[in-house]
Amino acid sequence: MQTQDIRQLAAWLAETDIDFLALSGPDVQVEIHRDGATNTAIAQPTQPVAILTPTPQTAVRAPSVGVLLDRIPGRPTPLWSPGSAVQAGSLLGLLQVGPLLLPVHAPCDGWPGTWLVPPGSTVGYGTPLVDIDTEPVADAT
Amino acid sequence: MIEILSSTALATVQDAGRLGSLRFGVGTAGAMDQLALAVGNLLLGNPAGAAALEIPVYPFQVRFTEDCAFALTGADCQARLDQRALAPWWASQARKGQVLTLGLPLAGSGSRAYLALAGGIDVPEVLASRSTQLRGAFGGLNGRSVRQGDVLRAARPGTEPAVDFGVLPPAIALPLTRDGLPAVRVLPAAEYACFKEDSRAAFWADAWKITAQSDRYGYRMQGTPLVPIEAMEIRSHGIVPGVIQVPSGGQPIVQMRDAQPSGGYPKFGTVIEADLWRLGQAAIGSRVRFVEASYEAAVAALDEVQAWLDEVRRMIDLQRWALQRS
Repeated sequence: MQTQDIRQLAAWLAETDIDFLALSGPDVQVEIHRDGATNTAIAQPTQPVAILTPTPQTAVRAPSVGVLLDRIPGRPTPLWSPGSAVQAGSLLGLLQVGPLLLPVHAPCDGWPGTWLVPPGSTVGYGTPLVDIDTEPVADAT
Repeated sequence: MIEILSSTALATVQDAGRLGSLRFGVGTAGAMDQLALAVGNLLLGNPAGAAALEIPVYPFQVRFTEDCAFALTGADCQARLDQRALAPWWASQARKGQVLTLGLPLAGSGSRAYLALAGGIDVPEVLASRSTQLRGAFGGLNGRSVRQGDVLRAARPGTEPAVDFGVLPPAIALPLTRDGLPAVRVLPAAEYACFKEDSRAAFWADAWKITAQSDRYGYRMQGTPLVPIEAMEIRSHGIVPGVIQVPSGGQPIVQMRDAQPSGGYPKFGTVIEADLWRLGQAAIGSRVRFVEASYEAAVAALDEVQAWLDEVRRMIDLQRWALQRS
């Protein structure tokens, strides 16, 4: 995040009646407090977050706030069915934000399980959506 | 640049239309689905009046001869970029050499797809528009539909950071149906009262089939014939897209984007401007319903479409802003 971005956020905030804005990202955490006509912004590095890579599973997290869709609007079938193989980069789902549709991509080749949140629900940034098995699940029989 | 690989006909370069030239006898032309064109341009940050390719016949294939961002809107043709499936109403990045393939539209998703390129399709403006005027054989690409081997230039080729997102289609965001059929709202026109009462009632109550004699010039509809109270002889007068004329056989013709600017048939009604995109996407052989509207309702409907477009623009601008900084 650049200084100009904080300036832009502060300008947007000034046009609202919101007093306090907090944003957390992988690298930085920003808090903007509105005090009458003045904005104060505090930016500080985020504490390093332990990234768990539970082999052979990879978690797919929501890249944005939005309503989770499991299919392309207007199409009758979901983008994938549990147990079917997906490739890195393929579209697993969509997040709807108003009229906007944002992609949820598979981060790796593998076999997605079931949605961890029901399609149609509103999710927050970083919400775990589905786990992808990166190796075929051993046949129980 | 893109190179047309398909031998399928009838795809044309279209923009918002050639407005202001009716007095020269030049029709408006322009995209049959103005919302799909507008959203395609918004997805790429193009000027509102930029031209795109309107595709009505499938399968359709183009090759990108350089890196270029593009957007697909309109009918959901389950498009693929090489082997990768693309979502409809979506902005994507193509690399040099990649092939874009559009298949048959999914039922109910529309009949025309729009391929917008970053910066718009760069063809010369004629009478302040890049739309193909088929009747006059000017505008667009040499005044004709594109052919296999044709090359279309994008005004802003290259790699763009602000791609890979889409928009909820207006058919879902702004639905309008009657008894399960797509509907369009119609204002009664000058000669409406000159038709028999049961004909007028049937017009609103019946499902009307879009016959095979339908194209960018006009849609010939099939249903209960509309019978005038007495034979009418009227002089030719100005007409615009949306006007519903009734020739002597009683089967109405809805004038579309390539309509000639004058005509002498009685005018039964006019499809409101806010709903012309719905008719523009209705497929040949499908049936539609006409819903009576007042002038005030027609203006309100246009406001509703504009408000939706404004919200789409606001959200796309935010998304593009975020992607350009990430």
